[in-house]
Amino acid sequence: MKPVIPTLLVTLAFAVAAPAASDESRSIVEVIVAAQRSDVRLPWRHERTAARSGYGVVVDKNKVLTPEDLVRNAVFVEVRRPGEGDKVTAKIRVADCHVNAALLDIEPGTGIESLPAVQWANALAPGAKVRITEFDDAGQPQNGDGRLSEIAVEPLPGSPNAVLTFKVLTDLKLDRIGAPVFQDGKLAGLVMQYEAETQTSVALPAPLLRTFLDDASKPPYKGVATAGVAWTALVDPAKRRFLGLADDNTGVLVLQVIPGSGAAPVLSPGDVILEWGGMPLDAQGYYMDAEFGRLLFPHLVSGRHRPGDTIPAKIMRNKERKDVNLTLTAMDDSQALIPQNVEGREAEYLVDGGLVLRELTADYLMAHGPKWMLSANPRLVNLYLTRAQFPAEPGERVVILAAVLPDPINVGYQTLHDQIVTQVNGQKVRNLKDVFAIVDRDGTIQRLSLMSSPLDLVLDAARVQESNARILKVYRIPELRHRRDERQNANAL
Amino acid sequence: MRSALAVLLALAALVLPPAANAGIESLQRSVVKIYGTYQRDDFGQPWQSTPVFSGSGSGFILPGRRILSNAHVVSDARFIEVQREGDPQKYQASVLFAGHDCDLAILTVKNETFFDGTAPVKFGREMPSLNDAVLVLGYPMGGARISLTKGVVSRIDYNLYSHSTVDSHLVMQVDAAINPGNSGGPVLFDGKVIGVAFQGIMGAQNIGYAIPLPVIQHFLKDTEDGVYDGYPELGVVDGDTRNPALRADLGIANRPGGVAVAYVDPFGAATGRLLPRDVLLSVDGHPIAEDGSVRLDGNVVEYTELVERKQVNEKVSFEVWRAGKPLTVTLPLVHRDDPFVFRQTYDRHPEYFIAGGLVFTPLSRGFLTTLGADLNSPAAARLLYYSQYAKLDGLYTNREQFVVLATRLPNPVNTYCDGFMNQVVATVNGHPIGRLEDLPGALQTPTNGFHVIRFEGNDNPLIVDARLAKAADSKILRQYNVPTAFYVEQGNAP
Repeated sequence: MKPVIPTLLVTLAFAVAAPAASDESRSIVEVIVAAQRSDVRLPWRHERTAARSGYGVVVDKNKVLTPEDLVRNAVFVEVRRPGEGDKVTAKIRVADCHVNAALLDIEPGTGIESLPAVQWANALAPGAKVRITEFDDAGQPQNGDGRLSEIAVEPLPGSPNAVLTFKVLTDLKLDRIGAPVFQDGKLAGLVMQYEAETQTSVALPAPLLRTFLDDASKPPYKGVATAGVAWTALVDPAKRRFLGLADDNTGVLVLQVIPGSGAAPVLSPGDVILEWGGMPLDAQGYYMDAEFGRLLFPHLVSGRHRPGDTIPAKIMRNKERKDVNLTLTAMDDSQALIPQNVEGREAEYLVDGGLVLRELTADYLMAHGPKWMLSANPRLVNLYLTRAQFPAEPGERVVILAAVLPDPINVGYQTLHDQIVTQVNGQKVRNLKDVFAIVDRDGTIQRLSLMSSPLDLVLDAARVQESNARILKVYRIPELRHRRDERQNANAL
Repeated sequence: MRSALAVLLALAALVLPPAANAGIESLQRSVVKIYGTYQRDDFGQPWQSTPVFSGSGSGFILPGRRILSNAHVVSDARFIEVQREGDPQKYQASVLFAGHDCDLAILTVKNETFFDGTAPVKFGREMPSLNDAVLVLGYPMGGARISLTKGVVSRIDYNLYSHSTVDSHLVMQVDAAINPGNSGGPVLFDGKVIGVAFQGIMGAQNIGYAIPLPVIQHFLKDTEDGVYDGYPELGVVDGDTRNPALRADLGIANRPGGVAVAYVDPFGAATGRLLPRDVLLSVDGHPIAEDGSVRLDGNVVEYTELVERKQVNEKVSFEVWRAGKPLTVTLPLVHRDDPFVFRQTYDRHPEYFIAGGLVFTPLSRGFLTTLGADLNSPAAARLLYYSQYAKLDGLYTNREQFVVLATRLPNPVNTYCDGFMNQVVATVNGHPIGRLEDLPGALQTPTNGFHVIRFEGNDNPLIVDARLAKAADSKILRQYNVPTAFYVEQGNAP
């Protein structure tokens, strides 16, 4: 027995000492966030402040990169060196849910300033040895060694957008997101998701982070590129023959083209995309990437190009081959009939006579929880599932009566909610902007027309003002309307 | 059977006053147990039914060698037997009438000896009041012999009849224990029947529901001519007119009461007779209050109760305020079959059509129920919209049914069709599909050798090789033991 103990001590001492020697861990900071989500039905209300924390990496002097969903809905962000008490205030410079990355500006003149910036890993390849680093409660780095596996284009954890991701299997149990993945001491990615059962981390790879960082460091921020095409695989041999395609397992089918996108002027539903940016696509939408092997072609759109880039494509239309050029635009669903609002930004709203009006967004529906498709209003769900990206005319949104705050003015209407508003004061409304304009002109809502309902909601115009004063007070509403600043809108992209 | 009260009232704990026991013995002879053997429809495989299962309920003797029970006790029954208290013999019974909209049924027994020694129960003249003591007789779970429970009338109100899943009528709530097996048994006040026990609330205590006298009388009267027509549907959705600004807008600021018509159902009796924004001031001379209530025999009831008490083709008269003028609208309560109300159906098999292994079926409540956990998917969520907003949003226009691609019987011709399940068919080879019977014809004219099947709200068509599908048809049916490729209820066939 006796000889064993000294050996064990030596091992322990080594285990503790080894990580401390790793230099790259000095670039890691803890990111501490206080976040508030807005209540979708009563948008002036906010859910209770949630405290969460994760990691970020120093990418430049007083600049930290972290996952966007960590700082989502943040009202206050701080960073600190792991194991130290001093927290330093951070500001979100750019956060983009389409790539799940955020760049933080750290208050100058603090200890963070002296931290070294990470170095970037250059070539990432499946099978590469990597190390994930996080910190224990004592501020000691914990390392998990593993291999980079499964490079694939997959939807982000907190957004429907599919981007290049990779997976790492380690024996380190991760507690928080944002932990860096290092390859030979250089940054290969940031962990976005960790599944304890399989001990698998899903990480955002360095190439995407670098592209984001370059963009975010040079205002104005351009964003993630999109072509605006909804497509599907073309594997079914009957469908291939019907479309006049050879049995060579190439090409994908264009289902929808989003208005205002780069695809809108050049592609039509029913087109078959055979080649994209010089790369042949197979029937499931894969191409051979020089760096990462077989990948879905959306990586060619958003991972390899910037908004404004022009891409050549070969298509088949009505059984004839055609060359087209397509200019990418920035991913932004402000043109959508029903925006996603992945970030959960506070909705614009109007309260008049207790009627709460807002525009329909996907997060409004999804606030019903995992079974939202069953529990949200079926008419609104159907509209979202079929027409979310397709306004009948530019600027069209779905204005809804989200709730009625009971007051003597609105007796008889108080059980209504989730109704689509078609007219205000007898005038057609395409969006909430139209509603604001009508109310500015007329003073109040006097008549609200709802879809498929010949019986309008009528308010006593002479009494709306006094009811508004009462409703503001009783329901503790800070203001009767919330309109997002146009300038702020542009920045938040 | 349908009721699912969790708490069983211990029979031993019941102490009945001698007076109440006096008439019980003769009543006991009139309350019978009904044994059923059932098979439900299998909407996942519409050509066959579910495994056989059995259940039991209660019923009581009516004049003319008949038995009254709940429709749900006899619905989808393949074999029915009845048994008297204390008689070891079971007699085969058959259904004369089943009113699925009011959950009542009339049975008869061919063997007349069954009725020997029984006496038809007497019905009360009017409904008891709140807190009146009532008895419930029947054969609930927990024992084989007749059971008696006692309680009071707790509430009389409109409520949903869960058997049809869409109809609401007057319901009597009692606090006497009503448990599975009580269904169809009588609820007695003063020795006379004033209700039929029929449903409970899962997880609630001391809440049992009975079908009250007016609904029973309506059913019995309806069947007198040998045909059950069912309740007439007025088909009016009314809006609340309490808001003074709305009243002014409707021109009734200076009048009391009235409800405004918010929507007229195209399949209801009022269609074409009453208009949206009409204000209904009175019904058959009874003034309608702002909340839709009328005073009837000293009681406050909903104005629709006056329509409820009528039979199909009787007339109802409204005093209506329309466009600033009063007028009288008298309308016959005509009955129209409404396929878009999606009532639960019984004793008829699901319709289907199979081509190339693709199984098409009309959208129905039974089909939606089959989806179960799959309902939380985009296609199924959209079916919910179609079922709930068919009329309101005009989705039913030019259709008799919504035809849905329900499932596929796997075969190489349909290998890539999985993404199209549970969607509403819009066109096949360019032909609009408004009912199941449109499919065979539409499949006669392939598009360049292919069937092009388009679905509502989906830009991606389903393509099937017409020649390969036709060649595979008989093999698929054999392989999957499907007796016939096409089944429609008689009367619907083209």
